[in-house]
Amino acid sequence: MRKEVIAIAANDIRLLLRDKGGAFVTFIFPLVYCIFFGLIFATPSMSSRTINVVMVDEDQSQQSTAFIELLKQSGAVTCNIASREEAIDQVRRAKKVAYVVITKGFGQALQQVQFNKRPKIVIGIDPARQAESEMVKGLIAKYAFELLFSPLNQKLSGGITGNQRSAKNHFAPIEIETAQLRQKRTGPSNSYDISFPQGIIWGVLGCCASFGISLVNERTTGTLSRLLVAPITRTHILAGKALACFTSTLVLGVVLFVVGRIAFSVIPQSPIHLAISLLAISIAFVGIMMFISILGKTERAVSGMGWAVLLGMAMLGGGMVPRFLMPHWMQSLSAISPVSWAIKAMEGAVWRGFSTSEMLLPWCVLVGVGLFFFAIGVRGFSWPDKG
Amino acid sequence: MTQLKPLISHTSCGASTLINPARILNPTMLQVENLCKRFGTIQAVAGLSFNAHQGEILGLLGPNGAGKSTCINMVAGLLRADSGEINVAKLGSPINPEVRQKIGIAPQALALYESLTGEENLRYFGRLAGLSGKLLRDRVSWTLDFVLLKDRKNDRVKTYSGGMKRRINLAAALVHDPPLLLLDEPTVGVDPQSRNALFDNVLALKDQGRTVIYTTHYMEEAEKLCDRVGIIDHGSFLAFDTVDKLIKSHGGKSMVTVVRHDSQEQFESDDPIAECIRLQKEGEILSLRVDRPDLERVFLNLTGKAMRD
Ligand SMILES: Nc1ncnc2c1ncn2[C@@H]1O[C@H](COP(=O)(O)OP(=O)(O)OP(=O)(O)O)[C@@H](O)[C@H]1O
Ligand SMILES: [Mg+2]
Repeated sequence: MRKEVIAIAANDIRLLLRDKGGAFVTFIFPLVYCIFFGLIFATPSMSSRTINVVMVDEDQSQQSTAFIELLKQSGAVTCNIASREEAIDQVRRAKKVAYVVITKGFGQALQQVQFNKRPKIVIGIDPARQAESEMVKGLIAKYAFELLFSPLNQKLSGGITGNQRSAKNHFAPIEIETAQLRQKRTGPSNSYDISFPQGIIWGVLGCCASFGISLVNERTTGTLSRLLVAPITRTHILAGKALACFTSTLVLGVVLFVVGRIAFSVIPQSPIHLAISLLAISIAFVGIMMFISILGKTERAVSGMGWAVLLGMAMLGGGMVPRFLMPHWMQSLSAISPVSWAIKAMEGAVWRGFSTSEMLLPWCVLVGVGLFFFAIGVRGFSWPDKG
Repeated sequence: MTQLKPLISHTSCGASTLINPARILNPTMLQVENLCKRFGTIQAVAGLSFNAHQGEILGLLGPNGAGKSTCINMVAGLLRADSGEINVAKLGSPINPEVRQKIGIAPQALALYESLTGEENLRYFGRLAGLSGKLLRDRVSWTLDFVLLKDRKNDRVKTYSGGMKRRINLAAALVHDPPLLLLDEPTVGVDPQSRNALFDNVLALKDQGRTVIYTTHYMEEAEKLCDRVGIIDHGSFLAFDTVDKLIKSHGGKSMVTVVRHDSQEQFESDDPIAECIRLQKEGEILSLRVDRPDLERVFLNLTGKAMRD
């Protein structure tokens, strides 16, 4: 790439950073958004200390019922009861942190621990919530012991001796098996999975508006004329502008996802897909930036019209209210907004578990949108020498 | 400070200014042939033709709206001419980016990044002109020195005074060391001190062999600086020559005013000195005043006294 193009891009980014308001809208606000909405949409299991689990009672005994009751009363977990299949599905879709299966024969075995019978519990935990996995195991073990020495079990088993009582401290009379859940999830693992793509959209829109307005600013302050008399072509000038916007959006996306990964457990299922998505989004919004810059002759006009267009796109595309909260008809309508494709491209890579072929559609749409709007922007761009 | 390499040898430059106008000895730096530009119904430039030579300062004088800036902008490659030809340094039209490498322009309307410092502005424009590394640093430093802004180089341009902005606007034209300089009203809003410093700058650039096209409304600037002056109105030249020749051919006669005890007399004369000797012989004089024609008179004679724009 020509070094003049890089010089233009570097200068544009420096100008953006000098403008405190522009820099805030572009870089800080999106992070605030990610965190704020992440907190608001946080699932109860994230916001409180109770862990949301689903119980599977395959034993259907007095003890199993009592065990579930014990867990419920403890206040440490919130739980519902489902079949094993449903339970696994709920965890896969990240609706529950874990499922707990009380296997058949649990009650029977519990009565006969002194004859070396070991009641068995199977736990399956969302791989994205490994932090809570030890807590769930600990809780299950704790309440299983409580049940073991509960009056109910004492009565049913005919009494557990003090000798066996001490076993509590020496060996594990209850077998807790951890089931491996397949990595594939079909739902966000936490609310930040939703708020980060949305927050990034706001940063991208901020970039778009800032660079679109700066292009007009160059014209009104006459510096565009200086660029035109420099020994470079108009293509170089626009390439420099595009590169500035492209780099900023890309850096913004990458930085926010890194922050999300480190601080908010936003773990993309496919980092490669996410990288390609961010590239495609940058291309799309460079084109939109170019288009924004021709919406008026002055900074004020471009800023007004530009934000109107961008906010419209954001509103319709799920940048303000997540698409799944929209009525059905609006969800289909939102496909006309590039923002919805950008969010789809990010969510597909982060938590929707899209395959590469499923990702192709949003990527192609985004690149197509970028090229289309860029072409319109370049055609309509009013150079200072146009009468 | 880095020394700017003279474009022509000192002796040839000195000789050219002493004996002859630059154009006799030096090669042509700019050729403009029958240049035309129309904006809607306004014919801004209507068939301008002229040459400028290496080491020459060429003035373009004209009332508001005469077409000076339009002409300069076409020479800079910023505007495309409707017809006519421009040839810079025998390399061709400034539409070609490589040709623009040879041109530096200080536009009439300041064109600077106000939120960047003076030095950052110059570095950026230098980079766009293809400079980098040590050469870029040296040129930026030389230019800042040249326009006396070294002390303020780290301040943002928006904190500069009007005169300082003009100077950095000029510096931006010089940073890539172009042989052809287009200065469009570089002294607007500048105090006499800065103006004199700027004159010195322009004359120094000329001595280094640069060609300068200089537009202004100030006649004394043109008289002081320009080897030749073109007087332009409605997009075409009314006259184009050295200042002396313009005055001789278009300035008219000297005005002699004589006041005696009992009378006051005013008349035009081709030979005011002879007239003064004659008047003294005729009797006692209280005061005698001779108004020689100057460029302003030439300008008003040619362009009329009606207000423009
Ligand atoms: N971009 C433009 N669009 C329309 N008309 C223009 C444009 N630029 C210049 N003109 C017109 O062309 C004519 C010449 O303008 P120009 O700026 O060249 O004059 P000038 O000699 O530089 O005047 P001044 O001394 O006031 O700077 C004017 O009538 C002006 O209104
Ligand atoms: Mg002008």
